[in-house]
Amino acid sequence: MRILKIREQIIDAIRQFFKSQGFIEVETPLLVPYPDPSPFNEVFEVSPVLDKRAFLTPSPEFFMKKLLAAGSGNIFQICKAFRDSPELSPLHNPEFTILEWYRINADYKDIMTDCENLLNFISQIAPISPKPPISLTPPWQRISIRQSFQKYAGVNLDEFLDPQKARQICQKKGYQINENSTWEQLYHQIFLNKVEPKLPKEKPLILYDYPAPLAALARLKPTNPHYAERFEFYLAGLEIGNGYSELTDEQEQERRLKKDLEARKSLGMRLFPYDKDFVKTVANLPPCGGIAVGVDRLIMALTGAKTISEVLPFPAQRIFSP
Amino acid sequence: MIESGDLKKGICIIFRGEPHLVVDKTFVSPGKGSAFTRAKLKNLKTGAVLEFTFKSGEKIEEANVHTIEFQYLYKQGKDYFFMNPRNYEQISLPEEMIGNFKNFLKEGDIYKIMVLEDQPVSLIPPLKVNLKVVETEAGAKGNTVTGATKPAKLETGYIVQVPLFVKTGDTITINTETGEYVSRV
Repeated sequence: MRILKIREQIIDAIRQFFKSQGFIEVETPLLVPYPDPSPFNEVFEVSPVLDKRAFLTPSPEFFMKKLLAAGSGNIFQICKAFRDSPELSPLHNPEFTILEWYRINADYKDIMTDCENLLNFISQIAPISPKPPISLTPPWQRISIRQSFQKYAGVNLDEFLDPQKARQICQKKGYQINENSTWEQLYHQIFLNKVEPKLPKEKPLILYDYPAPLAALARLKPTNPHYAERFEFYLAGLEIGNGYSELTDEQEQERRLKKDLEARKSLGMRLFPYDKDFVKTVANLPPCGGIAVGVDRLIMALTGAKTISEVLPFPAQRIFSP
Repeated sequence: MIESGDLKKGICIIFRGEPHLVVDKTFVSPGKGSAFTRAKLKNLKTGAVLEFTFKSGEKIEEANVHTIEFQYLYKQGKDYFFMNPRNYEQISLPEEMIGNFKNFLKEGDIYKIMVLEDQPVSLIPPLKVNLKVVETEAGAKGNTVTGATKPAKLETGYIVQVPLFVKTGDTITINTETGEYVSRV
């Protein structure tokens, strides 16, 4: 009950923060015909609507971008999102609360500043109690992914971007590799074993400039297209939010959606058509930055909870247990 | 050979050439990444515990282990001595291989011990044990506050919080993972 009350106060503080800056709070569909085809999230399919296949949305991003393209200006949303992972974990509930906001005429650096200000604001309004205590006062520490690989894993990421080199480096470090291992797996093998456990936990941390193959819906860096303008922020060692300078190139967008669907096919995941209307939308997007924040994880970090179940009144682990 | 997705708590694997017990495992899925399995592994030779994150589909060799029942005899320094009741063979295990279960070991009781290539390596703690309370204050009469507890000393010397109705001489069940009271027998 204690955490439930803090949960409400944190969510109220988020609303207050954005509304006081003139952001419009929006609602977009949770039941959708064309979900984000990212090969890293499986989606829940439900009964058809008007004879068309229907899914529970894994993220409100596509519809929020349609509003931006239609001239909404700065917007935010707090809603449910659904991802079907093969297993539950202390950090995963199949249904979770997501916060997304988009700022126009802005890029990922502006969104990083928003994150710092938002957390600072929450800490002044809600009775948070991170364990161990974390200082949320801006500015936060910012490390590029390239620096973090060099510093914690002794790996030169520029070299690692070459798939052949990546295999050699992983092999030398004793990781198991077979012909099916993808570059993304090799990258995360190093990141999860060597980098993430060593990231500083006593202060919030921003990791930025992800390799282009992990760009998702981020714009590539104009000065170095091997990297994308994407960042993640961490609190107490937990991955909380993932932001971008949003991709506004419709051809590149279409190419990435097709590639995602190919990847889904080779992984034996659910297949569905991509949203052609969304691709057209991307061409009309104003320059903007945006982010998705896992609200349940944010509450975990701010209350010192060890599992997502502690911050949910009815965790899936319990309501679906046999 | 098993795959990383088949890792389970309690099984033994060969990791970097050494036998390891899987102490814990969780599913990990990075923001924009595929599924991984993070395992907490205990080296069965040194007792050292480490974490490793396996990508999905990784092949892992299972260690050739079996279990034998031994009777606990006594403790000397940091070594715990056991005897195989069938052939009277005596063995010892270092404290690291007993872990927190040392609080619940009772002389004369039978326990399962994991054996790797004829070498006893680790005790397999039962999830629950029944132990006698040797010392606890008498509960104050009329105190019916739900959830109120008091300390109780068990026959192994371990002190645990118990509900007020538990008396000296009672036998109680303890969860050996959390070290907490479960019920009165």
